[in-house]
Amino acid sequence: MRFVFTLLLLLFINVIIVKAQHAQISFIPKWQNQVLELGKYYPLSSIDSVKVDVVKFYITNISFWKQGKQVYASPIKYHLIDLENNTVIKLNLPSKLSYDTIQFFIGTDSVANSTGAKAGDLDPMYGMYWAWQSGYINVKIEGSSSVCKTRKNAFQYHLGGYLSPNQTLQQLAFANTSNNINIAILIDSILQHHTLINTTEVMSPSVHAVKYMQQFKQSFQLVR
Amino acid sequence: MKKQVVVILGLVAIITLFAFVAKVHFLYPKHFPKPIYNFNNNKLTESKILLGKALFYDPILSKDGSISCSSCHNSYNAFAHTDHELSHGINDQIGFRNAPALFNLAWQQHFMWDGAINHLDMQALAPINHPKEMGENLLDVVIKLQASPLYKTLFKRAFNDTIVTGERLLKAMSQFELTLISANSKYDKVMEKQTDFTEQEKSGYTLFKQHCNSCHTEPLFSSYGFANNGLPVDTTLNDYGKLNITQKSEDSLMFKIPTLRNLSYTYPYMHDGRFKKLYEVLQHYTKGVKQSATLAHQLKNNITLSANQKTDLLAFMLTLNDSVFVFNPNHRYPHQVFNSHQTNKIQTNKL
Ligand code: HEC
Ligand code: HEC
Repeated sequence: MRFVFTLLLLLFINVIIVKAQHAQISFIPKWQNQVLELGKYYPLSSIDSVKVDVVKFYITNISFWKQGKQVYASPIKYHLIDLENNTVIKLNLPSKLSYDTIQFFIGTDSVANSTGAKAGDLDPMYGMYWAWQSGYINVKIEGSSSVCKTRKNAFQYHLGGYLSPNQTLQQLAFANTSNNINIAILIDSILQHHTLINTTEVMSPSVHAVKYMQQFKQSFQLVR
Repeated sequence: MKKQVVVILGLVAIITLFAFVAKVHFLYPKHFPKPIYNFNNNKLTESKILLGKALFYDPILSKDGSISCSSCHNSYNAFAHTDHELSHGINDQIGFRNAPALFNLAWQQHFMWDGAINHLDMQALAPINHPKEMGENLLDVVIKLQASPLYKTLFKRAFNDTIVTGERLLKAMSQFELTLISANSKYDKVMEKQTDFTEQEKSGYTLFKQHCNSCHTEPLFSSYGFANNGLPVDTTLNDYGKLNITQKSEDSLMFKIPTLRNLSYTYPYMHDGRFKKLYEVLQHYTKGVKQSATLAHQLKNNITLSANQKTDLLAFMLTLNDSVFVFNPNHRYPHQVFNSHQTNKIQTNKL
């Protein structure tokens, strides 16, 4: 009797596991249609070049929608993407979930920014929390370029800010039914020649941070 | 005889064990408001408080192992930094502000003179990262602690495993800082009807309520809001307070209102430590207030105080000194923890 029961239980668990869907979102940095490699020089113009060393950002509050209604929200809210070693978010979706749109945010919400120390991907030890002024760095892009008249030709964009009027959180949605989602990030659209000449540093919440966050959002494209 | 010893040892063992898991209740006097800190997200326990205390006193938090939090926040000065107008950090570098006293932090929403920090948990990141203070970064601190036998033990006691994370470190530090409560001054005893003010103190109390209480609001002696109290700008520092953070002109020269508790221990005064004596502070409020767009309306007209009234007001301010807090041995350098390092016999019950 007991044996049969255990067997049934195992079977049941098995069915659940098999039925659950897996989804994954992969982020692929691009430089003019090639996959961008960190630490490698790319031409900016006929004489100047640029090298990207760090791209880290938060993807948060991923949800799935069908016909304008939310059908599922991922319980793991905060994901730190680091192009150096972590570019894929894996999700377990309920079985039979069908959806036509995936939505997420780039950046962290104000709750994360203002309610104390957080664990997991939000742990401040990952260097994505400003030390001297409260708040997460939502996007970190660092590198160097011959056009930057700075020490070691470095540029640093630390984009964040959760208070008005300089809120940097960006919402994004893609029409999508696939469980295998590839999103290209067109880094060359953000790091343009004139941008790097004019701005070598964004290190605090400001209108500039908001502007670059909007550009960063626009550089996300669903790969079909 | 032997039996008794066994019983006593057994009891000690049970109490010690109990101390590991014992939840600590956050106690404060009846005349205090409800704290702002959300303890549900960081439940106080003896072992976490002890871990936080060890971290507070340990220079392991700084790049070259030379500076601890207590280098600038000394228990005998109500955790302020006396004598130095501006604080000193690693390589003897001088910061640009006076280190404030640390107590009653559970009642504060904003930290730093300009309110740059929005939560106590996140505050420690500022000195750890500051190139002129500890010059470190949190990940390197976590790695150093991970490799330390002492912290393996302390983290194990506090969290049931030895994993060091930034979150755990920051929350443990908050726990120790939250236990720094100053509520045993003569003023508190008067409020609890255990004693009375002298006539002079009474007169000072009346003057205080008339001129100072709107900002230095009792019983914490600060509303913990921001104000421009009319200090002329020190042109060697050009510190405009909250403006530096918000970039809003209405925040120009707004500084966090400090508490007036324990002033005898926390000189010099103001964000840049410009006044050494309380008498000079009163001079400022009666003669030195500088008009500007953001000056607090209460101070638009100089406060007038006669010499006698000044003496009375000072007498009242001295009733806010809390020697029980300042000399509380529980807040001092935890010798037992650091000494027991080798023997691994940490007495968590002796906080
Ligand atoms: C080099 C001196 C120095 C060191 C080391 C230092 N502090 Fe401070 N602390 C200061 C100064 C100066 C301020 C005020 C800073 C400001 O307003 O910009 C301050 C502010 C604070 C505050 C805010 C108090 C309030 O009322 O707003 C807290 C809390 C604090 N420190 C805790 C710590 C902790 C915890 C450590 C160790 C991790 C530490 N400090 C290390 C100098 C120091
Ligand atoms: C409009 C609000 C306001 C009023 C009214 C006010 N203060 Fe202040 N007080 C402040 C602010 C803000 C600071 C900090 C200013 C700074 O450092 O830039 C301060 C600082 C102080 C300090 C220094 C404390 C320290 O730890 O550095 C003392 C002492 C003080 N005030 C006493 C008084 C007395 C006494 C009165 C009444 C005669 C008074 N204040 C009235 C806002 C006020």
